[in-house]
Amino acid sequence: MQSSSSSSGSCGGGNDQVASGSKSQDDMISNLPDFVIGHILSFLSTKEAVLTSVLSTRWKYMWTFLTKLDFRDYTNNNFNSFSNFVTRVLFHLNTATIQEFILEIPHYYDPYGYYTNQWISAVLSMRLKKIKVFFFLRGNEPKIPSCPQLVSKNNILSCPLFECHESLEELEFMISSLASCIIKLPSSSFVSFSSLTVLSLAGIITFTSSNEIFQELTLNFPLLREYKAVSCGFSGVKSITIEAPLLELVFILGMEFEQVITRFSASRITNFSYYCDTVSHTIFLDHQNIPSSKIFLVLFDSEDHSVEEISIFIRKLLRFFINAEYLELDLANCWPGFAWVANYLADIPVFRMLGYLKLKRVTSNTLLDFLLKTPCLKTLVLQMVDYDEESQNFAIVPDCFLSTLKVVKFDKYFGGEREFSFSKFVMENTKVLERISFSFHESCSEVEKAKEKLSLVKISFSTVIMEFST
Amino acid sequence: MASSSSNLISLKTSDGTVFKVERALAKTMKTVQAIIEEADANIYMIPIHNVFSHHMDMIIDYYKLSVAGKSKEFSVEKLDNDELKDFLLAVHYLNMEDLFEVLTQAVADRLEKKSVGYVRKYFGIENDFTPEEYAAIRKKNDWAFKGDDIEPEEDEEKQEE
Repeated sequence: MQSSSSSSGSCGGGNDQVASGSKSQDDMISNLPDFVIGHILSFLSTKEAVLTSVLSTRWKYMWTFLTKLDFRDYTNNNFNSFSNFVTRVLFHLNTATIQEFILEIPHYYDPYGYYTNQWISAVLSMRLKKIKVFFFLRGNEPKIPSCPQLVSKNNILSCPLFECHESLEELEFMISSLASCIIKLPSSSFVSFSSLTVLSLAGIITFTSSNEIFQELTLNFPLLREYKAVSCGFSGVKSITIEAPLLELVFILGMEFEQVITRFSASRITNFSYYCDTVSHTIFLDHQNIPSSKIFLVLFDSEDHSVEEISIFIRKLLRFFINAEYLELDLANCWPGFAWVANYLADIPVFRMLGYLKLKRVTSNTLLDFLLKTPCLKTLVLQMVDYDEESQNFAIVPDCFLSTLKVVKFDKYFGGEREFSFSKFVMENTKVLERISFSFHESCSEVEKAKEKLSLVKISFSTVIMEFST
Repeated sequence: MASSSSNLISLKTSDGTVFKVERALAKTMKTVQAIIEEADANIYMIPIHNVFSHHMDMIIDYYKLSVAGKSKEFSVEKLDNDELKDFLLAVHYLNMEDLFEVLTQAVADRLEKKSVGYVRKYFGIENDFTPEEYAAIRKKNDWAFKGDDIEPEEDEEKQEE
């Protein structure tokens, strides 16, 4: 709601947006109980909800029935004014349940989390379902002075989060990685948040308890479906095991403290994304149980690592998916130098159960590396990249060509030389192929020529259907 | 036990129309459910005050969509503000949890980012503050009134003159 010019009577005010149709009638609000209004207001940001206090005397404290709190300040206003507002709202709240607490402020507002800690602590006991704290950085921050009382770097969020471990469904702490966030846990190396479905972290997280420092920490999230860690690192522990039997999405971007071992005990991961610039981090997945997954691996700027190291890393990761029946893989390496190294993935494990494989942005040599290790493959979908320096080697015909491969689909086909010779290799050597289709890249300029060229290839069986699409 | 047809309940709206609805739908109306349970004898027809036939039409629409798993397709966009308010009151009277959530969200969506004057008109609220009281509240909740999109109040400007 905005506070703009308004008339004091109930009708009139031509410069406001007019409700269509009827004139203003009896105050319909008298028909709705307070908590219903509070419910409606809960869908607005807390700022807007509090603005209703000026509607009329009856509305003065209607907003205190809010069940969700949403404090966002993107306008770079005075922190004192904001802080007074939040404190006042918390003080006047008239409900026993606060379902959500959302706080989005510039980092410099509360660099050490002093106020944030207090605010969250005030609502922790109200059966919180969702906490989202987002400290963002603008380019032109005033410099945060270092605080001598603090032991290590800036510490934020040392409130006893564990108090809402039964009710909390979504937890998001997005702190800039300059800052460190402490999550206090009870003294046990096994911690459970029984309702948590979404966990999203950024920045450096330290788990502590009052008594011990843990070497190995087990986090039990029986209902967790999404795990996101951006520029995140766990300090103070040697290894963390995340038990999440329903976990579907894992998203890791950047890492601090690579030597910490992270173990996921989760057999239903369907989406695994890993964007990192290092391969020395150790991640374990509950291997041999994952039936189908999309894997997205982006390794940036890995000049520090040799081809050997990277190939070992990829192999290790792929090992967790060896019993998968369905895989989508995107090995988008941002430095093409890697792709020229032939057969760097020659030693990947065999995928005995794999029936469907989708490979994005892959060279034909890597493609063959995979085909040689997927003996039961039925469907292959690929998007090839063509490097001039690459020399192709089609000496060995993969097993799947001979007995199982039925469908091959080329995405974003460009008609390049290597793409063509690979497609020729497929068509001439597969014995049970039923369908081969080509979906052309939007910038491919010679679609008709390419189609012609492909149609001329002699296929082993004439019953194979060849399809083209754009 | 209940009305003659074992799976259908008869509901009579305030404009006199009789709707025969499935028992499962009647169950989502806690008010109706309570009436059925409290009745000693068989009830043939349950009157539902404050609910008109056009409300029942929409309730049945919503029920059908939600049974088909398409509750997100239900929309109240075509209702003007007063019609939405009436509908909300009807659903509130019938005590239907899910539909109530949907409608309160819809009302909130219509209030979002609107001026104080608009909201007053929407709910039919009369401003009974004195200018001093009004200014005092604004000052207390200072931060809420800040922002590039906030214009000064007419009354305030008059006061300063």
